[in-house]
Amino acid sequence: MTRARRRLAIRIAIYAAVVGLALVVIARADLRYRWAWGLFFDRWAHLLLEGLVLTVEVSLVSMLLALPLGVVIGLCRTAHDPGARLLGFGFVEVFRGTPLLVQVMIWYHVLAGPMGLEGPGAWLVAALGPINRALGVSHAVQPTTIAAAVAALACFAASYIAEIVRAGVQSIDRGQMEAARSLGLTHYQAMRHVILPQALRRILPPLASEFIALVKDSSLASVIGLQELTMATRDVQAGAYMTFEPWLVTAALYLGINVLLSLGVRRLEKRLGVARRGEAIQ
Amino acid sequence: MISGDANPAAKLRPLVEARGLRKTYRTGVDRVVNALAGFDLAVTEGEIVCLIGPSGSGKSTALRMLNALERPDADSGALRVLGHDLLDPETDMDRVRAEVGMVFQHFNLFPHLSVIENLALAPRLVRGAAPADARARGLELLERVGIADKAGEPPDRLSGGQKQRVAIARALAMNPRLMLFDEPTSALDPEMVGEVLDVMRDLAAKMTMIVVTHEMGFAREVASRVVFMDEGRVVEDGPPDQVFGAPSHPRTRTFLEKVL
Repeated sequence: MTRARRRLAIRIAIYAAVVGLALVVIARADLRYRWAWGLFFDRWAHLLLEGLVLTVEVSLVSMLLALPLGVVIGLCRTAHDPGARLLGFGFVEVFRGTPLLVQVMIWYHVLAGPMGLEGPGAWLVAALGPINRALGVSHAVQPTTIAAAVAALACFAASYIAEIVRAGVQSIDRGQMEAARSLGLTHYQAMRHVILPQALRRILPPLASEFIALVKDSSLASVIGLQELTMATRDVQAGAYMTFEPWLVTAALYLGINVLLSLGVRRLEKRLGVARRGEAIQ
Repeated sequence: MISGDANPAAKLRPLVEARGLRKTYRTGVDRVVNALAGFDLAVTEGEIVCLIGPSGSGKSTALRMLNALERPDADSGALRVLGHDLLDPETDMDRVRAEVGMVFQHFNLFPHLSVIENLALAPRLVRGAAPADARARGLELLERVGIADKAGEPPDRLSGGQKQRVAIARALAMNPRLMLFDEPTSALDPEMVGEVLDVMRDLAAKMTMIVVTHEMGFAREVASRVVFMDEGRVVEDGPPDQVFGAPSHPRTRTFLEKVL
């Protein structure tokens, strides 16, 4: 056996011992709880899956809005124009500097009416309707509620994405911008075709973290009555007098979405050929 | 073909007229560096001008100004490049840059694009060339600089000399009327300097060039004029035989004694 293999074997043995010990502790712990998995899966689990559908939908729509918005705000922060820089700075500070829970409340109770969020909300509900019906989501989604949730999540995530984008753009060697401009490209063309494509490769890992945070943060939309996964879990807890089963399953569902998201971004990194940089040297 | 056919009448046209260019950088609260302190240069079509001088003498700053990568101070005299007034804020600097080619010390190839895409990008975006035409023209240029076989490779697979030859071809793809070189061989391993200088020598027959360089051999052999700079000013300006053979200024002599 080579030295490297022996070290690997020892490491695996240590991991196995730690995990085994943890499982023994959990299994032997007296939780004073009567599990009812059969009842849970028969009567209640489908409500969680309906919540899951909404969580995925709200997260996806928010992501699709947050990414371009975040890129624009991030570019504003690197712009030459002081007005644009101030706008970018203000946006980031406001949406990053207040709790998302407070923002959700303000979007729903304060801004939704005067800003007419019901319109885009109704459009979104109509667009998602066929999908929800096909997946068997039973309850109706209120246009204002989903619009306020998406607006809050998108702006919040965009403020973080803007900073990630700014860091990425500023990490690109100055010579790239100079070379692009020296060929006659405008500032916008240089950004679009030279700087951003390179920056986006570099910022994929923190962007993935931001998307994962967004999925988890969507649980805060439960406070304005959106029947997403967390709200559905609370309903099941109240209706079924069950606590452990729904919450553990919900945690597993969130984890499942986010692991899939991680793997997806990882594949993208591999395809773009950035994954190997900075790899450990044996 | 490379533009700038050398007919005698065209030779008289001034491509660059710089008078009294100043550039000060603020490096601290009350610390100011005079990168250029009254820089004068006139270049006519077909000339090959080599800018030499000690580091910090303002050679690169002057060169970058001709491509509007640096903005001169407001109290500068005059700067006209290819007929455009670069001191006029109304001038479309993007258009000027499209007509002036620039080659950098560190190549600055676009690492996310293949070699041929590096060449085709600007003609497509700036001139609206069809992608197929831009690539065909790019291949032609790669042929000229001797690396057509690398067209599909990413830049990081190339040697330093090959990278700089691609960078030259990329600048030529815009059919510039003037080429600027900012220490094009300074970042190269010694054994690769020759191949880049060969390409530049070839080009010199058909192009107006301004070259910031430490390659005195190249300057002596290829330049029609050598300009020696020190402390942000032109100290000596003349044919290579005169500047290298019988420098009139003591600072030129001191510099040449050190580098030759």
